[in-house]
Amino acid sequence: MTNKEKLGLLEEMLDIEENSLKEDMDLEDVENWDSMAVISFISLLDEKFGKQITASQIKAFKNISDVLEVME
Amino acid sequence: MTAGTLKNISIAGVCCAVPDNPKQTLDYRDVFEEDSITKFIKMTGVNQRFIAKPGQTSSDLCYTAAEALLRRFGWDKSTIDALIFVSQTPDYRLPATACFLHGRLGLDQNCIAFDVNLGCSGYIYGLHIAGSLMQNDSIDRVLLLCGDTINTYLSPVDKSSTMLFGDAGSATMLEKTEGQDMYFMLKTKGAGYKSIIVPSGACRSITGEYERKKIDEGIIRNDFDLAMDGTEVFNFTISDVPNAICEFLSSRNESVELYNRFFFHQANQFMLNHIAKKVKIPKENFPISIDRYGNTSVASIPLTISDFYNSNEQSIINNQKPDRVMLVGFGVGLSWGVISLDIDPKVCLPVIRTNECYSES
Repeated sequence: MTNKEKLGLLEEMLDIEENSLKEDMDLEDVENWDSMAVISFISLLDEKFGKQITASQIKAFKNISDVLEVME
Repeated sequence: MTAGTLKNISIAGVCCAVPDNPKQTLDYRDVFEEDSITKFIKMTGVNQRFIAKPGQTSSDLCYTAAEALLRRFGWDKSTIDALIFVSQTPDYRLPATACFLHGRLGLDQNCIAFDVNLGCSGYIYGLHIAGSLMQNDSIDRVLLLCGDTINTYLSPVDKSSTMLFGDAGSATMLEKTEGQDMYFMLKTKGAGYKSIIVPSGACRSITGEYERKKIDEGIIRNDFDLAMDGTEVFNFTISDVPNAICEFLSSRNESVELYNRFFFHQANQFMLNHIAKKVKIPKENFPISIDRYGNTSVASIPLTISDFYNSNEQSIINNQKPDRVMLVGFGVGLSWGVISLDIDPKVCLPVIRTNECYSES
C-alpha cells in the first residue's frame, strides 16, 4: 500500500477532507485526532493490516509519518 | 480450555425489566460539548438508556422480571431448586442479594441461593453455572437473575462512561429437558482486572478520595467511580473475543452459517460491528439493542433477546421452530465466554418498564 492510500484510509477514518493530511503534520494539528480516533485506529490496523497496537504506543506518536510507519 | 457440553437443559422463559426513566444522550448538551456528544453517539450507538431512580436496585428490576415470568408460565415457586443472582450492584455488602430475593419471591427452603459477581460475561457464566448444577439429579429448575444498575457507580462528568451504561434486570428460567444441550466455552484474563474497576469502597480500599479530579479531557472522577480504560478494553475485545468464537466453532466443527442468531453483550456499537465483520456474521442475524438501552452490563444479552423476539418487524415469533443461537459475553474481569443453544422465541416476554422498588414496610 502506498503512503497516499494510507493517508486516504486515515482521512476516511477521521471523516475529514480528502488530501488534507500530510506526512509531516503534527498529530496535535490534525482535526478529529482524539480518543475516539485512537479506538478507530486500533480497529483499522486490526482490520486492514492484521496488527495489534496498544493505547500507549499510539499516544507516543508525534506526527502522521509515525502513524504511517505502523500501517504495514 | 474450559469447554464442553451441558446436557438436557433448556431455557423455559426470559423476561427483562428496565427502570421507567429513559434518558436521551442528546440531553447531555448542558454537561458536554455537542460535538463530542455527537461523536460519542456515532461511536457507541447509544441514543437512549434507562436509569434506575434513587433506591431502585438491580434486585428490584430482577424481582419484577421474575414475578412476571413465573406468573406467565405458571411455575409453582416450590419447584425452583436454585436461584442464582449475577450482579456487580448488590443491595447490601452482606447478605447475598440472592438470599434477599429468595425471601422476597417466597421460594422454598430447599432452594439454594447465592450471588456471583460478574458483569458483561455474567449471563454466559450464569447459564453455565445453572447448567452445571442441573447435571446434579436433585436440581431440575433454576431461576437465573442477572441485573446491574451501573449508573450507581458513574461519575456524572466522565464522558467515557456516563452516557454509555443503562440499568436493567433479567430473569431466565432453566429447566431439565431431555435431548436439549448447551455448549460452552469460558475464559478469564485476571491480569486485566484494572481495565474496568471501581477502585474504592470494598475491603481492599474501604476509604478513598471523594473529591472528583480531572483525569483527562472530559473525564473527571473519584476513587468510588467506575474507571474504564476504553482502549485496553477495545484491544482485548477485538482480539480475544473473535479468537474465542473461532476456537469455539472449530472445536465443534461448526461454521457461522449454522446459527440463526448471534446475541452479543452490547458493549459498544463500533466494537460490535468490528467483531461481526471479523467473524463474518451477517448483519441481519446480529440483533442490536444498545441504541435504545445502552450497555446494560450483565443484563444486555437477555435484554437483546427479549427486545428482538418481541420487535414488530419480526415474523420470527410466528415461526414454530426454535432459533439456533450463539450468545457471547465479554468484559469486566477480564472475563469472556460463548454458549450455544436453542431458544424458542415464544418463551421470550416483552421488556417491562417499572418504577417498582422494595420497601421495608
